[in-house]
Amino acid sequence: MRRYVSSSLTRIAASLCLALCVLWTHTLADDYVLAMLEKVRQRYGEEAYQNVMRLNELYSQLSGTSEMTKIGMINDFVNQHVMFVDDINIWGKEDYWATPLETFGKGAGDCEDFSIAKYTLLKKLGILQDKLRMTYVRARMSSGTLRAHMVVAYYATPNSDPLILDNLNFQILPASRRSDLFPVFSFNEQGLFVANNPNQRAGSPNNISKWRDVLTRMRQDGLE
Amino acid sequence: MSLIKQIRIAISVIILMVAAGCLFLGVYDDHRFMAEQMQKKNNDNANGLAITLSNIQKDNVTVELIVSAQFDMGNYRRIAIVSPENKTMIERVNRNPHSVAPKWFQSLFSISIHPGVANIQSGWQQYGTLILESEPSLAYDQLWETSRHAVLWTLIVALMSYVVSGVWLKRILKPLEDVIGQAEALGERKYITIKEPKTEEFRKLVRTMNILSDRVKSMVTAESERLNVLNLQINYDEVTGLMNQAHFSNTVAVALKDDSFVEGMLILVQLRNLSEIDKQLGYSVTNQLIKKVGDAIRQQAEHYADVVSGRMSGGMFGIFSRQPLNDFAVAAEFKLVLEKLNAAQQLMQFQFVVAHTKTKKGDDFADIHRVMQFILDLSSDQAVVPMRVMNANSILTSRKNYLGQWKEQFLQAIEHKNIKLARYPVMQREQQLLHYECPLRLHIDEGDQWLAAGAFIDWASQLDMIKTLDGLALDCAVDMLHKSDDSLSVNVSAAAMRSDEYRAKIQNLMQTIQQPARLSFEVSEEAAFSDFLQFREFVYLVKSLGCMVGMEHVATRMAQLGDLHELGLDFVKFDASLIRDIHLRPQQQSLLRGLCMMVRTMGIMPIAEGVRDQKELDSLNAVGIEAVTGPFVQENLQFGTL
Repeated sequence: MRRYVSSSLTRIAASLCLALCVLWTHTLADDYVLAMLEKVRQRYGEEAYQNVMRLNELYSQLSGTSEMTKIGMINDFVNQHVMFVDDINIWGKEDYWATPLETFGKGAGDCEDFSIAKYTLLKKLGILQDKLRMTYVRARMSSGTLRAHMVVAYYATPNSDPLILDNLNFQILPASRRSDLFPVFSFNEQGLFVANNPNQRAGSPNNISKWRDVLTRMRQDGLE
Repeated sequence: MSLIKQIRIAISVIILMVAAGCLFLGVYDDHRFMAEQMQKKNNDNANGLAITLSNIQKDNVTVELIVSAQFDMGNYRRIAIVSPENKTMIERVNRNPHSVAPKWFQSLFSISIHPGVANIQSGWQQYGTLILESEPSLAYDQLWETSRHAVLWTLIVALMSYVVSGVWLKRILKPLEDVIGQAEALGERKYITIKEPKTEEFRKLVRTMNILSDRVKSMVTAESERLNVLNLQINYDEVTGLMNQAHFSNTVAVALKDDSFVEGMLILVQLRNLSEIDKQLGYSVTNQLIKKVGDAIRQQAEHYADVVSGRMSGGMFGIFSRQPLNDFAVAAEFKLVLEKLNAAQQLMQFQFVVAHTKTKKGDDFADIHRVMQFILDLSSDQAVVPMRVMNANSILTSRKNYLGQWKEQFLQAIEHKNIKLARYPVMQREQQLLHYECPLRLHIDEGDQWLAAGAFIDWASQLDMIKTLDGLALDCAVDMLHKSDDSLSVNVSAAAMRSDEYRAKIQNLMQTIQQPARLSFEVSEEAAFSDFLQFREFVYLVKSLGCMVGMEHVATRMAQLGDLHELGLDFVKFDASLIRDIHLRPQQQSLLRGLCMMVRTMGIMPIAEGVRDQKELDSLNAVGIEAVTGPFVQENLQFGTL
């Protein structure tokens, strides 16, 4: 009997603890993730909400850590919480660039969506965009076939050998050790002036560039 | 400034403002579109070039060549590659951009866009950042060209709309002109009615004015009918409807004294046995018989132009012609008519005698009448032929008056301009001259004599030369107008009034004279009312030319005076027969008073003809005559200075 009481007490305490913890993390959490939390719950439901909650926890853990840690944790987080699915199966479109909100909402995406999510989250963690490049690569699969792929490259310095954040190979390796990838073209937000043009509308026929389009959508969600 | 012009200007200004607004918005939109396109071009070209450069062998020469090629082939202001350490590696700049668009235009629609930026990779190594700017002068030129076209088209459209609005407004406001015309006519006491326009406001206005016109018209018509009845009562015999003794005597006496009179004819018919008939059949049957005789005489008299007839006393009838006629033939015809009447009637036969004579200008009617009465009294009861009261001169005169001879003489007179205009002053109150009435005088034959109209008008009419003579008179009048400041009035015959040639002549001549209001045209009552439509047209024509127009010798057709309400006549001259001895005839005074009042209602000046003395003048002044003419009237006449 006593034991029962103590165990229920323990359980209440634990629940209280968890609740406090949630409250705590809520209050401390990054505004970005907080905003995302609200929207995710509204649009995609509880499961997605839980994913973002975890992202929230991750954010709180990562504040003040080194860039290397951030890169590793974010890479792992995205790779673990997003399932690789072709766009056509998620969005019903051939090639759709999703915002992180959409990707975590669906819990699925293809290589661009992985890269966009990692790029955005890292940028939000304070890593300069100059150091980050989304890169189109030609990937040689283990079967020997070639495939178009996208990864995020992290340049510690402009001339350094970049680290590759990939969703095919979860391990973060320098580019020199990724002989299966051959870079074709890289880009970041440099030279894109989305914020400067208030008339730009996401998905408008004027807006052909997918990269620009996805950035615009993020901005419209208030989640740049 | 006219209403149409003001509305047109307002419309044009509004159109210009709208167009200018559209133009500015259009250019502004173009400008935005162009900026957007250039921004995209910058981005796309930068990415394209960067992709190319990322996938080639990156020796400096190749990279520089590719950048140069891109720069040289395209429209760029600047293409540069900056190393990761922010050092410019390659740069191509167009330092002399050439633009046709003026500086103010460029600063008004300045296109601010960002350069296109893209990364160039060399394997996993960063090679550099590509910065690419397109040349904006191209966009400015394009925009400038478009704007200039748009301005041009805007101006063309504004001009066209000005023209179209003018035409359109004219159509909309067309009824307004008619309304104004009617209002002005009413102002001049021309009581016209016009068709009601379709526009509601105009329709109401016109309806009201038409009602006013109709009211005046009916008033004037009623008044003229009343005066006509009064005229008949005063001046016409109640049994036969012919002129009564006084009126016939006056008419003949006035005609004989008239300036234009030359030769005429007088016939007297006397019923002999009226007292017997009266005794046997009674008063009313006798009156019936007298009426039948009167009707026969009137009907016969209508066969001749300018012949009047009257009942002078119980059984005495008079027939007088103002024109030269063969009195033998005419008297015989009248005798025949009465004999036929006698034969046709069932009652007691009446006996009658006929006497006839030629009359000359200056003859005294009372004398002639007395002589003829004497002869009739002498004659046997039933004379077989009408009796001629001879005049020694008449045979000689009639022999001369052959038609061919007349024609010759007319042509000579016309050719040698042997014509002149007489001048008789028509005086208003306060010694003011209204105008000189100017009848035509013709010089015929070798003698020194100038013939008045009465002497030749019948012949001229037979030869169809009246309108030619009227035309000559008009020439003379215009000549006189050029030479002096006087106002003149010329007579217009029925033939001239109808003649297109004469009308054209008026139009041509009127353009040459100053103050056309100095010239008046007058048409006789007979000519005017016998072809009233022509008269109306004639009046409109001369009024439109700025001349005055009036009617002369008004004496008999009083019931028709009401028709003048819409013409805007300037004056009416009452015949001397109405004026004669007016001071002795109170009824005649009230008739004339009514006539004066009526014509003044229509804005017409009443004028008296043939005034002979101060007594007549005083009487006329009292009944409201506004101007006078006649033997007594001189330029220094004191009239109406009471």
